[in-house]
Amino acid sequence: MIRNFLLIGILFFPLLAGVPGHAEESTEIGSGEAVVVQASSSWLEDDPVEVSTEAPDSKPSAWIDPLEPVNRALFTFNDRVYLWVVRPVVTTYSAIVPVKARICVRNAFQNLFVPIRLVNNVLQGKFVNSGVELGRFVINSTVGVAGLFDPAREYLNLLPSKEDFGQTLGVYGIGDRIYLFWPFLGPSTLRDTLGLGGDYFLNPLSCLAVADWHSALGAKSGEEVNRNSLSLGEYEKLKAESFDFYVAVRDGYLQLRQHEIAR
Amino acid sequence: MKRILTILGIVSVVGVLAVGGNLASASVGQEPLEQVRVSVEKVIQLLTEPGLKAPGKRGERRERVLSVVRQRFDFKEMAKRSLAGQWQKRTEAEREQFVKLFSQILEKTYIGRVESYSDEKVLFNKQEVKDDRAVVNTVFVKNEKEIPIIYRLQQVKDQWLVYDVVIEGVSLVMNYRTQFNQILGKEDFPALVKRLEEKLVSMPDDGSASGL
Repeated sequence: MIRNFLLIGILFFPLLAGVPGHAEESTEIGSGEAVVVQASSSWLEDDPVEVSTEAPDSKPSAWIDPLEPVNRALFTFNDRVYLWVVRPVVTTYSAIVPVKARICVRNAFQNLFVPIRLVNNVLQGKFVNSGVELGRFVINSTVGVAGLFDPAREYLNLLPSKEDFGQTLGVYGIGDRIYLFWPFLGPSTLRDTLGLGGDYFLNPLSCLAVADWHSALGAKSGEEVNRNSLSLGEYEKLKAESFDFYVAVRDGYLQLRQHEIAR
Repeated sequence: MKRILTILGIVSVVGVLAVGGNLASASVGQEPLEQVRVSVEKVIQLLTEPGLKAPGKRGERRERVLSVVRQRFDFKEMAKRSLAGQWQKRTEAEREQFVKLFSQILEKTYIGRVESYSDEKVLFNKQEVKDDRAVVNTVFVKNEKEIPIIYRLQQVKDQWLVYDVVIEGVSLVMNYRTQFNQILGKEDFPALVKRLEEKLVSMPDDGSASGL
């Protein structure tokens, strides 16, 4: 028992020596702890399109979104599913379950999905992050009561690093050429869809699905509902703010993925 | 276990202090980070002021928040960059009209986003400056989750003005530009302006999304 903890200590020492460096000079408003963040300096440079004098391409999206009519139809389908099914369920759920409990549920699922982040960090050569994920898993599974709490974040400033197989493929140089919008699953690309397939094998819920797919589907739906409950109203706001909601979501997704791969 | 955690905690705290101490002394005066921080603090102070929380004070609070926002955000620059190449092709009157409409939409968007502020935290981590350009890295902590928000700024006299906000790697200006490009691929400029006018009317006033 003691030996195991010592092992964790040794594992963590180099990480802790390195990681807190990111928490440099954080001033903050409100109360709470300093948080690790990584900066991207690429935003200092101008985007060439932003300051160009050329008129925009008349068909800018044709190459990334050749299936636009189909995607748009599925987008509308998902929108209806959200408004008629997901939103009422999520609204009821969030009215009954207090936010603290919902954060615990999110933490528990996040802890469960460690294999996905751990393996993909390794595949991308991000060994420090892999160590952080492993350390988070050990700490949160024990001190954090089976992952319900996140002491690794709260006390040690160890943040999860979202990595999935789609990102790994992106790091290996597979670009996202074709945008796809899936019913229920939402925005994706050809590459990220392949990635979902890869991550399926790392997802503990998949093992459950083999034994009892009803429970696995229930768990997955529960995870979705819970996660949505923590950002209730976001979807509606984005919709209200955008001029072409479909394009706004597509661009947002592609920008986000680009950012996650470059990180 | 507790002891190990304590030790690890102390090690990390010492690390933070050692690194943070060196860097903190480097940032001085009215730097971009400082200017953004002051504006964000002012907004949060207005949003949390008990005297302004009553429903009857909503309009006043909104106006006071917006007056802070208008001093820090360069809506004209945002409009220009969102239109990109199209900006050059527009007449002065067209530009003016577009900036006016777009600014109002951005203001409504901003208000809609911040009015639900409760106990979220904002951390100001880092600034980078290159000539008259700067980026300020902040983190918004909501529901125990960190959301990185980057402000892109341009220096105008002694002020640093925001011309883009990047949330989790998604640039607001770039997102608007993609939408405008797509619309202008099928429709002409007056049709886009008409869309802006309609959007302004349809956007909910109270920050909620009940208008849907």
